[in-house]
Amino acid sequence: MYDVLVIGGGLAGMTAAAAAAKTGARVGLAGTGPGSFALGSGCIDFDGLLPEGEGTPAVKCLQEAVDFFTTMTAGAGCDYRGELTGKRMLPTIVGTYQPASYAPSSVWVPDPALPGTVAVVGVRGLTGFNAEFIAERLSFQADTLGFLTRYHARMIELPRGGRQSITAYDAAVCMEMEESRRELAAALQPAAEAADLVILPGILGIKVTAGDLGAFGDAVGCPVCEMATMPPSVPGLRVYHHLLEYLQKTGVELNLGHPVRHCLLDRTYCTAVSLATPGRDRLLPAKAVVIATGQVVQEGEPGAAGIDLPFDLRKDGIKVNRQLQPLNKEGAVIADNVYVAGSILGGNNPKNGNAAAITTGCQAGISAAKVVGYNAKK
Amino acid sequence: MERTQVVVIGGGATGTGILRDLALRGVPAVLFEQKDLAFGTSGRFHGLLHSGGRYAVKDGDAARECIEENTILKKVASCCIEDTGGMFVQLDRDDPDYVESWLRACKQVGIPAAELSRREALEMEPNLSPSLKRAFKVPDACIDGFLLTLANAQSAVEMGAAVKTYTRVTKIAVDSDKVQGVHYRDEISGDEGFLGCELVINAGGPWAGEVASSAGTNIRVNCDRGALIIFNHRLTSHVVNHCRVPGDADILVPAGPVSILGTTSVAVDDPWDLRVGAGEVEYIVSLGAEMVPSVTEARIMRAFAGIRPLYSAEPNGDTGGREISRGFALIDQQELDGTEGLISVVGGKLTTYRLMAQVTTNLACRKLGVAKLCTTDRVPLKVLPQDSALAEAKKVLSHPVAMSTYRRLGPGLAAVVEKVKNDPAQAEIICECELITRAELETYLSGTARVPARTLNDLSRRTRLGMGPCQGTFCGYRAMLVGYETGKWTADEAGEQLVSFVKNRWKGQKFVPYGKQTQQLGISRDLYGASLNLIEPGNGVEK
Repeated sequence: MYDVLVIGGGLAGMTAAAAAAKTGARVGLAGTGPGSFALGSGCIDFDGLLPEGEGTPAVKCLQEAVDFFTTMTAGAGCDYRGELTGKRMLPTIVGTYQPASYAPSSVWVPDPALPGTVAVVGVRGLTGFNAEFIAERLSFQADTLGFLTRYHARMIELPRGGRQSITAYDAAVCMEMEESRRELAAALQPAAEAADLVILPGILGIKVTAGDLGAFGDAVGCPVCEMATMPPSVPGLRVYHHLLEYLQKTGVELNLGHPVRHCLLDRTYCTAVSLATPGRDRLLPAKAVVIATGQVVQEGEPGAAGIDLPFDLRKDGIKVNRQLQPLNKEGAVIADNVYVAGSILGGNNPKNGNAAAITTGCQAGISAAKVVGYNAKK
Repeated sequence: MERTQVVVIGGGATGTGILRDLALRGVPAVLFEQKDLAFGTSGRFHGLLHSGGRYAVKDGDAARECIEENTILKKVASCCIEDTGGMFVQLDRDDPDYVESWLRACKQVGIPAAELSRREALEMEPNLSPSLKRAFKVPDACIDGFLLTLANAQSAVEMGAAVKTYTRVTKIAVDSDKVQGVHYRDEISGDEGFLGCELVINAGGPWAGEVASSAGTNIRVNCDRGALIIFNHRLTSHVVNHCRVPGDADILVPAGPVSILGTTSVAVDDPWDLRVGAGEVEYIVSLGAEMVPSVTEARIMRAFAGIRPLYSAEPNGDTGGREISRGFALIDQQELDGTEGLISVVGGKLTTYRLMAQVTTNLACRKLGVAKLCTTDRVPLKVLPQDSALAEAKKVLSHPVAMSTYRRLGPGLAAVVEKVKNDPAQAEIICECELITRAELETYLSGTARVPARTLNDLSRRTRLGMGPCQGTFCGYRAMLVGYETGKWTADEAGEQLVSFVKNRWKGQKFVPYGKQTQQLGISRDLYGASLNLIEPGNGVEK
């Protein structure tokens, strides 16, 4: 019997599970995949979510969620940089800037508005990355925005690279080995000499920690950042990998790979969740449930995870009260011990989807633990 | 002044078919297309090469044309046809009397329709409804409208004709009741010019009325919009037709790697009105499910609409200038109002494109005093390479890549193999769904291509790039880089190409109301909207 069972293995679900586990509750997580945050760079943008006025309770609440998240990611070995009210322009593979409040340290570049020389380094044979294209477009963008950073392109051979084209994921698998990273650092020396920053496609390993990446930068002799490629995008996958490991370490039980078929309701109380495991369904009893199944409902799962909801999620999202409990058409709570987090809430802007995921995930996790008697620890 | 003998307007199957027919008869000609080849109706249908069965009861003449053309095209255009065979199925609730009259009509017209036992039919197509009552095998097939149009254009260019895509004819110059030539504008470069000619052939399809009005004349084309849906794989291996009075959503075609189900029929005013109406997808699925119940569970990749250009004669009953009344019409402007040098061909269907081209070219040749006869019923569109070429390809490309490249390119395969041999990096797979190599894309982008691709969307029509389940989300970026790397586009232009391509791929997906593809579209919007900050999410406004 779980105290809290989280449905959904994306950013909202993982944050909720970690937040609930931190209270001392016994937590389980059921999910079918990493969600869309793992496809990108893992950036978090609070644009549009920030309430007016610093120091207001609402901002404090956001700040608490962010502090929880950054502490969690640092503990997981994939630390984030940034600040709630700030904004950093991060370069992308289409030569645009993506604004972010927080980002994994490997993609958190120095402020491009300030003077600097950046070498965008391409890797021969790597599919879907062209340093010249990116540098040319970024230079134009920087000019337009009045930024002082200058970009130029370099090309290197991947140590041990073959003649076949490879993906960023292939390269990352190779870069898990410290020796490969050492060789890559050596290959980057010439590009690093004339630059204040080297930007690489995201290839520096999925299991590597922030510490490993720091050591890599030291070996290159110049700060090194990554740029998320087209999916599979290594920076996002890296965060996903580390957070899963972290959840296991903190005692969260993972039930991955099987969709949820039903939430068993006893009037307004959810008693268990059934997983569509091969052969026969598996019942997971739980005292409280967090639903974080994402924006798009799986086929064969009308309503969120089997709770019959009186509206079309694709259009409306789920309506919730301030405690994130789902409401029916009449505005009454559907289940007293169920909480909802992440993009399933609807009305969301994809630009700040990750920010909404960690804020609501954190709150739903804490609320779910609280309803079964565990209180958040500072 | 620039001059040619004939100007053809419209780069669909009919226009390119006419261009090739003219070229085969040695008549110099230039084709103008306002967008890309097969941008219009020729690229927006279910991909069915009719046996004629659909028309047998109601319009015997149209049915006869279909079966004759079906037989001819299977010989001369085999490079663009997969001879899947087809079936007409009668279900429990269908009218048995219709089936009998259908059988009689098929016999009369000469469409071979062999009855299959219920068991045979279900063995051939296990996904057919259990309520199947009778089934008949007919010589339907699948024809690739993109490849067909391209092959006709390429063949014509090889013989000296010219094709100008994204080039709009802004005005047909008429002086003393005689066509003098055309004013045109290249919509990409902005270049304008005038090309003198003796004869203009209007094969504008849904836009034929617009073309006619640019010469100050008038043709009534009724635009009839049909919606279709594409499933991510083949649900049947034969074409399946519902054997009843022809209506909506009663044809399911295994079109290459996908299945297409359609269609509907909605009269619209504007040939650009290519929307899929609210509820149309569900409507098509519910009708298709009568024949093949599993369509309700299959993944829909996108929905799209095409316009049937239907000709209607003048309301006063004046049929002057109309040579053919069945299915399509040939209009000689001289007989209508005395304007010399303008022929329009309107209506018809893709299955009969060659015949339309033949009849039109016959008239053109009569006017020009050219005595040569049509040979498009004998001369193959492409000479398919020998097996040895495929074996050679498999030395440098994996089996599935070699096969899909061969299917698309036919004789063009050799050039791709040569490129890969010289540079193994050319074997890079740019589109994983359709197995398209860098070499193949470069072939189409190159200035030496017979009809070069000018946009990323053109590459899609040439190669099926982005037509698989990812709908261009992942391959579009890589293909854009190929264009940049070959020098086709500057970094700026390449970025614009990508935006237009991705938005175009979103267009068809947004009509899909449920299922996996909505998740796929969500990923694409998140990626290009939030993560890459290239396209404003939601409204699709460019950055």
